[in-house]
Amino acid sequence: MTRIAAVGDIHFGTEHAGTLRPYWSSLHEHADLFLLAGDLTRVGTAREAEVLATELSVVKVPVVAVLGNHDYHSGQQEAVVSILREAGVTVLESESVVLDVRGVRVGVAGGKGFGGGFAGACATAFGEPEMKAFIGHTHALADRLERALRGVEADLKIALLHYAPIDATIEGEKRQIYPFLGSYLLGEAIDRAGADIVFHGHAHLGREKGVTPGGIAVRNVAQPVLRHAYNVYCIGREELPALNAKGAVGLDESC
Amino acid sequence: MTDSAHVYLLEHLRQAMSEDDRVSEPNIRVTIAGGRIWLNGQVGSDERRKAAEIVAREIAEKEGMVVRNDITVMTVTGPTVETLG
Repeated sequence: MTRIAAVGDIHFGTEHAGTLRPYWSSLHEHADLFLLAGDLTRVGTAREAEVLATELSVVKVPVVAVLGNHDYHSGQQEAVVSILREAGVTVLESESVVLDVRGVRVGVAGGKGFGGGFAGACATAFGEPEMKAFIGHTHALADRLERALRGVEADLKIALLHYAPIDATIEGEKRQIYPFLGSYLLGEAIDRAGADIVFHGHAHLGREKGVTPGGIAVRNVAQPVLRHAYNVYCIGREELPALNAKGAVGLDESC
Repeated sequence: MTDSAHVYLLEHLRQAMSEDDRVSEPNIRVTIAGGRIWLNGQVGSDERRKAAEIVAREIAEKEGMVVRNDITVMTVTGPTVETLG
């Protein structure tokens, strides 16, 4: 079993220094890998990234992250990425990494993703250039995610996003804003390329558990959904059972 | 204020909760009841809770509206564990 800690949407501002450190300093006792599903900062400034990097310095396991929309807000996303990478965080921008985690090759392919909506109510590349650019961006990121996932050779394959790849994990949000919360194109790319589990954030009012049409477990780990400093997901490819239609699995505190 | 003015004021307040960098909290709910503006929802710090009220007052008080702040600050606890298998 590989123990994966995950959380998203921590929206770290300068006022948050020290608030997550007590939990993160003991994270290695519960998990072997820490995934951050975007919206790492409040408004995406370099200063916020520096404060977060200091907070992450207590984490004793590999940290893999993607950015979220908040991390782009101030136009300093390159600095945010640079600061986090200097702090030892692997930041994925439509790319992948394979880590040796206690003898298990764990591959993580990830990126921010984008919106567009879900089957039956999805934006299309039709009409004004702005509309084509909007959905074209999602198409491009979904294609890059699929290539990144296909390129992963690992025992355990994880997709890490900020935007949602299915609508089940954003239920609870207003339906009118679904197109701004994710896209089925991301889920389709993941189902085509294959993965063992998908993590995302972004939908604060959504719910934690879902499954892609292809049967891959999806977890919305936005902190307002979890209400924990992070949650831990224990997964071993050879022991994976068939998930039921809702992706429901049991909890096991002994992992 | 007319009903249509209320509609526009509420939407301006909702936009400000996202777009004003002092707040940047898209999930704050803004409603009107009893002739007052109500702020609800959950944010990550007391600084953001107070900032939301300040920004809302700046906008609402120009229209003679009173703001009530019912926003709460999110608290987190240690992890739970799920085993997929």
